[in-house]
Amino acid sequence: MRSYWFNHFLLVAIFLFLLFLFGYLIDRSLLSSFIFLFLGCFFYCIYLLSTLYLLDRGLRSSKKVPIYRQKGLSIEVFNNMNKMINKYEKRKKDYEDVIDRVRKSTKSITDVGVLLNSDNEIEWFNPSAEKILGFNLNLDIGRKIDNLIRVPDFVNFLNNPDKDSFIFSSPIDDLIKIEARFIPYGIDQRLIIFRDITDQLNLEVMRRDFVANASHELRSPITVISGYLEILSSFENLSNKWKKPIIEMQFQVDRITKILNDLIEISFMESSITEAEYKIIDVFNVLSTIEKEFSSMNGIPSLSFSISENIKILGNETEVYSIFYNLISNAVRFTPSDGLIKVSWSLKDDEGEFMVEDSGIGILEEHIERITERFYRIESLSQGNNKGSGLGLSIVKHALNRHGSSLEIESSIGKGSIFRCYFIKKRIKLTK
Amino acid sequence: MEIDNLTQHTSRQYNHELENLKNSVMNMGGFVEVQLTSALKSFSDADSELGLKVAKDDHKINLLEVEIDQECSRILATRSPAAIDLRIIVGIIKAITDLERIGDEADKIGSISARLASYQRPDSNYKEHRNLAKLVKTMLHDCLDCFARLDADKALDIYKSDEEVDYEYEVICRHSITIMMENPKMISRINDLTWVARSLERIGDHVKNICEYIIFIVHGKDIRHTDINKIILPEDL
Repeated sequence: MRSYWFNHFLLVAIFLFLLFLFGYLIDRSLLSSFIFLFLGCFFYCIYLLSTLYLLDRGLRSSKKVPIYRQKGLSIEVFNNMNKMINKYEKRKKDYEDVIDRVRKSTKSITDVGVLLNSDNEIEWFNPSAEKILGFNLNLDIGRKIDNLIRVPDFVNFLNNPDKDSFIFSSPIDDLIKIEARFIPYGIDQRLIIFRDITDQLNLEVMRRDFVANASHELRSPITVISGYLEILSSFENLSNKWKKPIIEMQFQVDRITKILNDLIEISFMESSITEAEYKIIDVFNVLSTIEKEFSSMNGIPSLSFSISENIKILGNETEVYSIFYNLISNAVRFTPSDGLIKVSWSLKDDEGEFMVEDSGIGILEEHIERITERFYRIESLSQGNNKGSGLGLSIVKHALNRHGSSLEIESSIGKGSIFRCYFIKKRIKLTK
Repeated sequence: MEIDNLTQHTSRQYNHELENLKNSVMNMGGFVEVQLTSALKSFSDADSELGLKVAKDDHKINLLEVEIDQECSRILATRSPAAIDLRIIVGIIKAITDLERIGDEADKIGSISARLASYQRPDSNYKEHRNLAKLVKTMLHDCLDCFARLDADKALDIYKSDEEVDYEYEVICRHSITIMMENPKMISRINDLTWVARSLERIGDHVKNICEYIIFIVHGKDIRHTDINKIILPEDL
């Protein structure tokens, strides 16, 4: 027990004892001493009550307990109380500062964060939401988010998010494009981050247009050069000194033409957002054309085809052709001439599977992920004359995307690679 | 005033039904908005494909209307709603008719745009029409927001802004007549354009109707056919 409590008890005990004694001395009877004792207790009660009253008044009028004119025990108790109040006040102020800081920083963030509960009701959002989504801080807390962002695609995405992010036009201005990203947290709660990506998309469009225009513009001068080179190379009385450079120039011009054609193809596929049409394509015919093309070449590995003739693809013939052609020509380029390339077309779990398996040099794990990027090349391989445009797999990827289909790559160094394309069920038609 | 707080019913199922009903109206509204936006885009970008797509998708709105209508009847029959619940359901039954009509007008604009796409366009690319379109589109969007928030004051503002649409429509009509008199060869095209303006003006009217229903839902006050300047909304209850 604290010393001031002990002191107080001692004081009260002595005081009561003295009263008791005093009462006894006056009358020499126990009755009077009890009367004095009772009076003492009564005044002590009044004293305690008055202290309590002061405490209560102090607490109600100000946030501090008045310690002046207090003595003994109450000064200690009041002091303790003040200390606690101070501590509490300070902590409250700290929290307020933190909250204030968070509020200020979320206010200045241009991205929008919206917290949703399990019923998709808005629990909180930062003020930027007013600017790009048209939310209202006073009215919209607790409202369902799909009542405010009513774009049907967004509502679908909200109910079953099958992708990481989703892009849509702002409800208040069509020109603002917004990307939404879902982050689950807590139990069944979600945080959605909305970002204004209009500038980013515009830049992307500009880049695409630039590539498309530049390759178009370059094509005509290259055609002229290649025409003259052809005429020059057909001169019979051309001196030996010129023969080699002209052949080399022709070779390089052919390469440039190829790259330009690929660039034009890829920029066309990138700019068309719609999916490819549904026209019946005879896979057997397409692959035979490609087979003929390769069979006329010398010094290439042998190709073996196994094709199920009754499976047809519904899609765009040129694009399917370039998927097949690019995959096979890649395999041919990276397989030594004594190797073997197996090409197959079959049905697997209702999906069409096109597979090219080579016994070539293989691809390192770390390259596989990036190999479909445009102009991505593995340094050690880009030597010699087997250079492609660097766009082949990129074209394959885009063409497959347009057919809602996917590419899988499997490879081990030294043993060869397997490229598999899966054409989804609605792109497949079976005939008898 | 927490008027759209529908949690005071003893039956949770009932709350759920009302909440779902309101949601499906908002979904339908969202779809109508997309249809209108696409129709207007096809109009300003001369995108005939998009215009035809709008015309093709119109039946989806009709289906939604029938669905919501049935749900409303079901709730009326099984729950016999009262007070604000009743007003909400009556309001919804009326509002979806207007939404469906707006969808029809968007369909019209889409098909006309598909036809206009093949014609030569003036340098202004129909600026007056695009202005009117923007006005009407914002009105529809704000109106649906008001419906979601049951915000009667804003609804009244939108209700009043329809005057501007009517004015713009009149300007376009007068302008069209002048062009037709100057150049009779253009009459068929200008005729199409007048139809677009007409559709937009009608959409404005439908939006105005929906605003009336919102005010009815919130305050239980019918403001139809009253002088626009004399409408005074009761203070928050």
